Amino acid sequence: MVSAEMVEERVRYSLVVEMENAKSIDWDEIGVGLKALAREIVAVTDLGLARPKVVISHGGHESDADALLHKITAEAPQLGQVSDLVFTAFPGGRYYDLKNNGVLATDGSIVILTDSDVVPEPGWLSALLKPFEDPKIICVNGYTYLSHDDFFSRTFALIWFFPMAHGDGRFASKRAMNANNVGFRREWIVSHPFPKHNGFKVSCTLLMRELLREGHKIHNVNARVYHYSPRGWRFFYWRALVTGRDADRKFVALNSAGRTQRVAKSDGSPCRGARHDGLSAMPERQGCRLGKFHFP
Amino acid sequence: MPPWQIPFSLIVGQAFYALAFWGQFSFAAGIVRDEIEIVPDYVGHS
Repeated sequence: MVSAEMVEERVRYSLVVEMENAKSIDWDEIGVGLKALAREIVAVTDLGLARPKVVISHGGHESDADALLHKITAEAPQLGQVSDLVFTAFPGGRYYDLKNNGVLATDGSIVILTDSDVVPEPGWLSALLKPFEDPKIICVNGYTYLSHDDFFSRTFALIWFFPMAHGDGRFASKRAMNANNVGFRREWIVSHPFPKHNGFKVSCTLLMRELLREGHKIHNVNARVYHYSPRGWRFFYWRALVTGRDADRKFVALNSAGRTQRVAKSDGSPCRGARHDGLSAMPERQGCRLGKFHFP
Repeated sequence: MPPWQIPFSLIVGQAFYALAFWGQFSFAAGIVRDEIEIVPDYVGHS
């Protein structure tokens, strides 16, 4: 619950909603997330917090804003009623480019980063904002899990780098920063954007290390969102290979390793992550530890 | 997860990490070049 101090000070916060692949997203799914987002904004506004700015950060052109607004209004008309909706475009921008670009368009002292393909649970926004009452806290990290409704999505939920929705406390306590469910002090994130990198999900790890290197802590809270499960064998194949390449990129970035070390690092049990997370995860992922690929 | 699905799930999970291993090894060994990772159009959410 947001405190009286935050209300008295009329703390201003902004949200950045990343919309990387507006061409291929499922608008029915997005609508569910945006409606939930509007509900969360209403919940904290009712407590006295200022009306926020919601930045939709997309990879299309500036001229796409009208079409996006039309679709968002059709799917979640409440969102425009409870917030100031703005659009920022970064043509061809990748995931972290859109995060960084969206942050620049915010005006609140606290910035919440989320994605268009996640759905917040009730109490999510309040849980993310509350720790910022402590002026020392720079980063508040939520709890993201994969939804599942069939064999394939259940398997993904078991092997993925997100903790499972329930019964996964040990893994969840060690979770890394979720770029789709995290809050920052604006001052910090503006001066520390996600680093540019060729990798797919490497920048988040680099930013997390930067945060820790400066002596800050990531404050984990139970601000829960579910992420729609990835679908399809083509995605499965592509994502697995990228996961491997990113693992090497992270090893290089964090250890400045030579090629021999890199090859040696990739050795060992290729299925270590799956074995630990799969076998031990069923049914409750007891005794698991972070697999070597488990960095978002 | 129904018990009968567990073996199949393990196979799929191991296939994922086997591919990930290949991705990491081939990249580390220089078989695959370092290029900017672009999300394919068929990926709705990743």
